Amino acid sequence: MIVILKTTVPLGLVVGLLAGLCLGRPVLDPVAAVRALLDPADPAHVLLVEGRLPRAVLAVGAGGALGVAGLLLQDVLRNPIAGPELLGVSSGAAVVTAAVVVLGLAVPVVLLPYAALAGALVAGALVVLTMGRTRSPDHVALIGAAVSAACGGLVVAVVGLGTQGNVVVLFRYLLGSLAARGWTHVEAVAPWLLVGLVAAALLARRVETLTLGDEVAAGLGVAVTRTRVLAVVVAAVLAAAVASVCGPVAFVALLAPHLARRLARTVATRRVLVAVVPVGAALLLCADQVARLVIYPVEVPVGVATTLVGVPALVLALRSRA
Amino acid sequence: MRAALRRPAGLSALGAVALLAGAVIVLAHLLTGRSSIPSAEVVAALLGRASEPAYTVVVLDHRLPRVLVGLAAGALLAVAGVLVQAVVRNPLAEPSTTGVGAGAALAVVATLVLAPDLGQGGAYVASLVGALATGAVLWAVGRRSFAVTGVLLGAVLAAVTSLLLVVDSAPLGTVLRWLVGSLNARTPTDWALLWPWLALLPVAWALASRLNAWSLGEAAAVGLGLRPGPLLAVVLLVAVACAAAAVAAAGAVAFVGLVAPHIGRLLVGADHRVLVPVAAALGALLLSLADLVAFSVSVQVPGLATDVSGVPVGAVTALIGAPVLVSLVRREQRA
Amino acid sequence: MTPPTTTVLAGDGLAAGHGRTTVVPALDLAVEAGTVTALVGPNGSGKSTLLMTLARVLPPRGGRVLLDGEPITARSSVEVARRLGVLPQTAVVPAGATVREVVEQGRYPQLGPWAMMRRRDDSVMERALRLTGLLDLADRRLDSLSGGERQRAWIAMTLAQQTGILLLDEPTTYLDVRHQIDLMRLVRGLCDEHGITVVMVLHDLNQAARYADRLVALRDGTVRADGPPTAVLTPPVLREVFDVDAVVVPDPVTGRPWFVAR
Repeated sequence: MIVILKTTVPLGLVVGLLAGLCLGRPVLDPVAAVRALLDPADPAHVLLVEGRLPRAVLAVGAGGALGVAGLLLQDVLRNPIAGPELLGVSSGAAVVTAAVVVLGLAVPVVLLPYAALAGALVAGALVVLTMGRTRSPDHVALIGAAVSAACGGLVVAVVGLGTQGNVVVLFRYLLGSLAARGWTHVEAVAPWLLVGLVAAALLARRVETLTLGDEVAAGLGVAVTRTRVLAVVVAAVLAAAVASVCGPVAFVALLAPHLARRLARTVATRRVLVAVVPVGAALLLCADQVARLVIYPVEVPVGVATTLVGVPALVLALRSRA
Repeated sequence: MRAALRRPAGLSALGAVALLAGAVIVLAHLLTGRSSIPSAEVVAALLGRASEPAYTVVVLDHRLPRVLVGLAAGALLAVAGVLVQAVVRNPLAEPSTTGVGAGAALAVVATLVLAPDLGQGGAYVASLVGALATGAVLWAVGRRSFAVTGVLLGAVLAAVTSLLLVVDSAPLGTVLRWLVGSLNARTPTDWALLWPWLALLPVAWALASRLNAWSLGEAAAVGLGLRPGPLLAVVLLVAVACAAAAVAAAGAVAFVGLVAPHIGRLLVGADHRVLVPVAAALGALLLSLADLVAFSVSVQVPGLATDVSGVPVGAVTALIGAPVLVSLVRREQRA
Repeated sequence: MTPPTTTVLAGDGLAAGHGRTTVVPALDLAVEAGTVTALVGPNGSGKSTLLMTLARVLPPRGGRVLLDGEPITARSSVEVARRLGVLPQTAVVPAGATVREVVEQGRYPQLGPWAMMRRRDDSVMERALRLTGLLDLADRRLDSLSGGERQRAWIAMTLAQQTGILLLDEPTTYLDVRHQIDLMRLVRGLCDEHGITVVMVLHDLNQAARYADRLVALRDGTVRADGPPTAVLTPPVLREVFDVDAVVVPDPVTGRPWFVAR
């Protein structure tokens, strides 16, 4: 299992990147793709530099960020199924984005992450506060489901007020999609992801002590509540930044930490953190290729692909963990 | 208070209050709408003597089916909740938390998109098949941890539903409403297809004393002479059928199956012989009341031309039910 | 003529409790350097709450905790952790973590909160593992070990903290007799050979009398008896604190008091 993972992750990154650059219309062979990328005079240059490359870059960045968000939440809440998709963080971002899209509010794409972040933080805070100290995966799932359902109710209520065109756009968004994302989107999220990743690296040592229990961590000199709040905020920042440009891409954040723990052969947060970035990136990049190509030329939203692959994998991971 | 309500006098008082509330909600539904009709004319239309044929159409073909479908679907959802909760001995199980509602909704949407010729009757069959299949998967994979499995199952089903919509996004608005649950624009046909399923309610009631025995634990139930296998099969079948009928009529409305039994337990305790009818009545009232709220909100929004759009009742039940679910979880946590 | 002593840890009018309930109303307690103190008392007497409050894991409801004569709040929590190690009962076993990984967490206060990756302090870790007899199990998963082995891993974690003061909440719980004796001897050795001050909550009164220098008997959050074992483990105290009618005889091995219920 570990050997397979170790070879699969770099392989997935390389194959995903190549597929992202070469496949589509027109299909290029790898050499031609690299040449087109480097030569501004090549007819495919613009397509690659402005179309396929930013999309692949976004998939890598977003996947890595989601993995880190999931790891922080799982360790800090000591719950194997904690993830932004089950903690209402994604649905909170969705409500805000739905309102912006459907009600036609004039929010520029650069500011969208801020708006989505506010929604994500409110919903996430709601779930984490009501959760209290529970470690039961069932209870977390139910509380997350409750907040998600309430947010879903709000989204549909907003949709009920929109036109068909808006609704289609929103629907695409709600599933998570990387279609037609360009450098603007990459630039919009890059600072958020950078800040979030650095903060996660700085928090990792403290988060690791929290996995031993609140009182042990307090005995080691860790400010328990502050660490937990900070970690949840950082996870929400990462998830919301991704959600604001790609929509709530489900199950990458939940699944990537489980795979990364196997890959790193450890549960120590600091070491898993290093592994979870490439794992998340490879997951999302490959899922996006599947979404792009499986019924070409129609694109499946990448969130559908990650859900259909992620859930069975997650069930397996949780079962073998016990 | 609970003890007082369990006595026959208390129960009849409760019944009277429920009837009164039901009457008020039905009247409110019949009297409000996009077009204003004098209340005398509404009554006349019900008796078949309205002065204008348009009044008869609005009252009998639009307003009446909507409130009747709401009442019936609410009762069915509540009873489905009571039965499932009894089987898994967990007050948090219901169609939306187990994924069964999503399964039924997926099947309905699939028939709407792939085989529109089957019509509304086909939706019922599809809903039943979808609910049964989801229930079976849930039972096989994760009945011990039904919530995690149910939530994950719900996510997969939602993804499959969206795949259908990727193929054909035209019915998107309709489909979203199925997924959340809506009573907008119900017709007499809907009511005609739904009411025979109400026969499931007395069946559920007849199972009540066995559910009481089962709630003492498997060993105790066997000691009392129950055969767990057949009992669970029948109860789950009835529960899934109740949920499927409600979903086929109103879509995957969340949390009615959770909130109604919960209030019922607060009022009359956990004896299923009393709880089943009380929860059914509460579910009926709750869903039609939530629909009244949804409708009143929609009417306030200008520019919504048809009855089809507007806030779906599922959005309202989700917003009401979410805090109840959270408080129930917290209570169980403390226990 | 008793040798001069220094108080390293003290509660000064200390009130302690969980959530909304106050378990210990007001208590003065001074722990001398280089001694082993055992807190004993019936369930719900406030022993663990007191211990966790002394360890600044629980905030005091009133009064203050003095560490080396200064209020414990005057130092940062990490600085406190370099002076005082604590093993609570509520430690969580992370699924999949190895013994070494758990023990390594004890190095946190020395490394500082910002250290992301650092060479492991191998000698310290190894000493902690050796003292607890866990060297052979260091790379096993903690959740695959017995309750006793897990408990020793937690002790090793607090030892890796290298502190002059150790607070242990029921450290012998889950241990079989053999490991209980080993652990108590370890505690005694830490005190006698390394001058480490130990405060621990114990349920077994005979064990407490045998290995501790001082017993503090609590009931309903107040100190009912305090002193050397011979002064505390007496029939009147046992009756007052535990409602137990007992005879106390000299322990045939050490001559310390030994109680048998009547």
